[in-house]
Amino acid sequence: MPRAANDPGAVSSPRLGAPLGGIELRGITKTFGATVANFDVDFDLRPGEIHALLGENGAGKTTLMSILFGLVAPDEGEILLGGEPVSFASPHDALQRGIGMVHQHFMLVPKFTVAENVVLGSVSPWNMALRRAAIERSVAEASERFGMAIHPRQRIRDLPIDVQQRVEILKLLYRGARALILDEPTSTLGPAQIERLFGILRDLRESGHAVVIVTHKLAEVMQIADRVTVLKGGRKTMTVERGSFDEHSLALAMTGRELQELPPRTQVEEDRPLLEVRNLRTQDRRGHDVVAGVSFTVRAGEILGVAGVEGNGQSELVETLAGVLHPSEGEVLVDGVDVTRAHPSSLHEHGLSAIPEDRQGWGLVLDMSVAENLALAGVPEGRFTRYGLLRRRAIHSQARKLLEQYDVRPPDPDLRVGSLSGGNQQKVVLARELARQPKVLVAAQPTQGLDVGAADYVQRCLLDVRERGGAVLLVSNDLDELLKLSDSLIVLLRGRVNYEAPVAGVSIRTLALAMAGTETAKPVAEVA
Amino acid sequence: MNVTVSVFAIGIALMAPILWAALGEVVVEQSGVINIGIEGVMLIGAFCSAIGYRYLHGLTWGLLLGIGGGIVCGLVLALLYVRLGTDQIVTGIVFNLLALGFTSTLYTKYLGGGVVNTYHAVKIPILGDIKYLGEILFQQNALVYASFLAAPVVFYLVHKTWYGLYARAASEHPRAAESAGLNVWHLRYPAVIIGCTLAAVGGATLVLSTSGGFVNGLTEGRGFIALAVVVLARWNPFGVIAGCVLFGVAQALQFQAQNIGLLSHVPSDFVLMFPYAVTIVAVMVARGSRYPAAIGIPYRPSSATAV
Amino acid sequence: MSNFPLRVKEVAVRHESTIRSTAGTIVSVALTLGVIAAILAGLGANPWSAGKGLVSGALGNRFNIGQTVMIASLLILTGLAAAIPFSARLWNIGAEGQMYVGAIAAAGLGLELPASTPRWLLCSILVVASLAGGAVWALVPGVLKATINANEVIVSLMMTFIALELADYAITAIWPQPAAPQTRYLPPHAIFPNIWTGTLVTAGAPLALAGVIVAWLVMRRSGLGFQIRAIGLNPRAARMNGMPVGRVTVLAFVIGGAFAGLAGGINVLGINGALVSGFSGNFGYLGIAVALLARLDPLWILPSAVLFAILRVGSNGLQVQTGLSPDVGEIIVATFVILLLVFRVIRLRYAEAQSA
Repeated sequence: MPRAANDPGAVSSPRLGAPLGGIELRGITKTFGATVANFDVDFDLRPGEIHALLGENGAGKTTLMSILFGLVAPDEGEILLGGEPVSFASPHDALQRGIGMVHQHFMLVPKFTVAENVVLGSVSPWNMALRRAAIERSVAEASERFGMAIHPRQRIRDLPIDVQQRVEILKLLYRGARALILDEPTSTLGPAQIERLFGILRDLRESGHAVVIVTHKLAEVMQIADRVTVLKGGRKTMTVERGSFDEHSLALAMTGRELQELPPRTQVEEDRPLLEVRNLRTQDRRGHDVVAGVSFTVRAGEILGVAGVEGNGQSELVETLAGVLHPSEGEVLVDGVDVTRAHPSSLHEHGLSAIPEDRQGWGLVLDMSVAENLALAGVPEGRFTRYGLLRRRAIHSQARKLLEQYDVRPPDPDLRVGSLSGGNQQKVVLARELARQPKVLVAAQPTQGLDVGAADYVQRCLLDVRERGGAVLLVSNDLDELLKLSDSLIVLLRGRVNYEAPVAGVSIRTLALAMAGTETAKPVAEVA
Repeated sequence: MNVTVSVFAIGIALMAPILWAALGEVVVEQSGVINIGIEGVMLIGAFCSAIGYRYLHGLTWGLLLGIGGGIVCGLVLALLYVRLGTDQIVTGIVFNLLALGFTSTLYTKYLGGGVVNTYHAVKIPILGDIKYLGEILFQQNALVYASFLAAPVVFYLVHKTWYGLYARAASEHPRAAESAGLNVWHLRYPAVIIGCTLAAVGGATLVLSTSGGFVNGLTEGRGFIALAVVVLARWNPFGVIAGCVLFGVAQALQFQAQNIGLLSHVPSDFVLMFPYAVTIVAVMVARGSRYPAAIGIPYRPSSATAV
Repeated sequence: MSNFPLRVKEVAVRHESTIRSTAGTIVSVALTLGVIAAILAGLGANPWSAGKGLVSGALGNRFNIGQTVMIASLLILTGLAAAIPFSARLWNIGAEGQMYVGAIAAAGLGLELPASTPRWLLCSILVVASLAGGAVWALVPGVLKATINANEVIVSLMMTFIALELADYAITAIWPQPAAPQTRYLPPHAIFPNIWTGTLVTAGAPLALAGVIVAWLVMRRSGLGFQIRAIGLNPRAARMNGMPVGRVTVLAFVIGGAFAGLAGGINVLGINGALVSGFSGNFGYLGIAVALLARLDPLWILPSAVLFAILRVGSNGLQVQTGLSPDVGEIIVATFVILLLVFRVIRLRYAEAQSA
């Protein structure tokens, strides 16, 4: 719907959009090079439903949705809106017809305000005058109408993650979307925020919107979905209605095998504290505390899990421990030795290794070979140089050894590491960090984006460190993973430890409250 | 004549070329592109304006040709920086080489050291009579006045229009802009073209207002100084004015050095170094300034956008 | 023996990307020359005779070859001065200024040191002085970048302009030569000996060659080079793995500056015999082009520098043959570089589209 060209600011209240007919994807096939991402997939969406698209990482969910929201065109098959075949030239095109997507990594400009983000692209750039007040009013109205409780003037970078997500949803609704696709919406949220999100989704369903949740989490599907479509290996295995599925049938359809159990854990005797953090305080670029006085201890043979909604200081805590950020206060001791503010090479010397959150950003140099990446930390330490010159044979032989030990495919030391799959890349990072036999391993989101097989392998490696008497600090958004692997848990909220307990006796409810920071959470030092 | 007033008056006259270029660069950088080739653009603008004056007879033609040269540079650089996505820093450096080669070749052939007339100073009534300030600010020529007026225009464009909002989004988070339905390339093209045009006007100002002629390598680093001023002023057009005045004065010192007690003992070569040293200090002072998040990174649209 | 074809295939696959990029570069160069030929034709010159004039001007007789060798030596060094920091994504644009400071150091010491010093010692000291001069001049952008992340493009350029004024001062005020825009001539035993009769080739040429070998050792075979490349490709991963990014940044600049300084020293000691005002025909900036064409690889800088030297030296011959202005050589060089850049990007896009 074009706007009047001389309409000052050209901002009126948000469109409701044309009423949505059914949306259907029929016979969709899409290939990228040698990989068949989707093969003959059918998918349909009714107004007023919450439809979950379930599958492992790499099953083709993102590709299918990319086709639905207009980013990619299918090789075969068709898209039908209300029975009429359509094709989308771009996501903008799809949005004009009422279909929008909320991505896993938000498409919000951090420096801009909520209002500026919501109206981005809603009006032609040839409209001259930008009337801030009118825009903010309009966005406030929309926020109220959809029950989002967002202030239009706040800057995105000052908002917590779940509020940012609401801004993303509001953006789509403001532009008149009737079908919303949410990609892994709960991956960064805690239980309380997830509940609030589900509440909003239910409201949307009541008002006739259609919602697709793309996820790999069975529990959430059980909680919220009216229908589930399961993808496996690029094909659809089933579509079922609420009431005719349970976790086991879904797991089977998703993976082709039963839910797996990890090997039982032995009790380790040693009591020696290997990682001690006392009153750690780190500031962000603008001087605010992101880590605000954190203290904890990890002993030999222990895995300490760090839970918390993303954005509460976990990333900064990991970066501080890894030596990339400097704390303003506090101490870090590795096996009794003070390593506060030490350079990463010094940390390695003292037995601390870190697996970073973003393996491509922090952990690997994609354009270098596998062998070079494996030697990345060794070179500055001098382990692979003699008189300043590289000992290339030594680098190669280490690489070959590690590639075999960790079953990296393909086991070619000269291959550019960027061409390996995500799982194999993570194995390279693991191999490098664990080859040092660290006393303390700090692992941040180690299984993120990995398929089940690779995730399993990584988790076993972590347990292995524990068996050998090392200490592991596991930071993860995946509560299931934390509960599965940790001996004890702490919860970070706004940079502080809000809760602390051994895993054995913890209750999800208490954890959820601690992560959300409500009054009724039990204070630290009281075990649940 | 009061030495300070004279220094400032000359400083304002000298700073105009840098001001034009810096304002242009504000527009460019606020869309996510960094134009290291700004020096070359200024040079080409200067050269074209000299040609225009000489062969088409008149200051106006000189200015128009200078603007034309800027537009052409803008088109070429927009193609390279945005559409083809070449590495912006490297491309800019190479563009400067090209501009230098181009102008020096054609200079000997077509300009051969001719002197160009300049715009005359126009005294603004009433305001021009104010003691001290009048002489400094209100007895300049048209191009200088225009440069001052350009600042609020640039400010309006960048901060008060929908285009400006979208372009800034493209400079911070282009993927977000694209997913909101914007075409990042279409936002950046006009920014580069406008920026180059303004820089070329700066070059024309050098010829038609400041120096009164074209010599090889006339710009002598002014484009790069403009780059530093933009960062120092945190992309605020009014702050840019202040920064340029600073450099203008630093340059003006060389003309009055013998009258300023301390400086009269300093060899002239060292006085000439002054603006460049000040630029380095400015860069150090601007250490807290953050460039827009996505600047300098060529953008690849995810869907198949043709142009 | 029956394995042989298999082994060749293996090697070919492993080095596929290198082979492909080299082939690509050759094609780009050929295409660029084609475009330039078209431009020349457009300007009214016969491209074929232009080419002949170029080649004979650069390589036609012993003397010309010697000139090409000396210019290539300078371009090798300024090319290395750019390539090494560029490998760490550090834009050292100030090679021109670093060259001048190296030249000032060589000329100044050469004129001030006692005449009784033996030649080999004197020349060695002056070489070291030029290395040091360039290195020190590059410290400023390097340290500022490492400590406060200052924009090294701007800083290194400003340093160049300052260096030019410094050189002028040295020429006019400290060691002036009456009626000439240069310093006094250095005493004969302070300058390099001629090593090829009939030409002006001096010991500067083998020094440049030595520079290539040193640069190759550093960049491809040393721990420092490894770290420089890692930082250039992913500075965050480099830091997280314990690399001292700040220190390596400064070192990369210092080494680059040293190479550029040596180029200045060779000009004084091996070409002009004095510090001549404006001696550098933008060699510092051309070095950037040399480095880019060579993909920042020290070994490829050698042929790249020779190519540019031929273009430079031969442009006189080209002018004579075609009657075009002598500065047309500059345009050709600059067009050459821009076109190469464009072709490089087109190739990259093509490769990406293929693998997507």
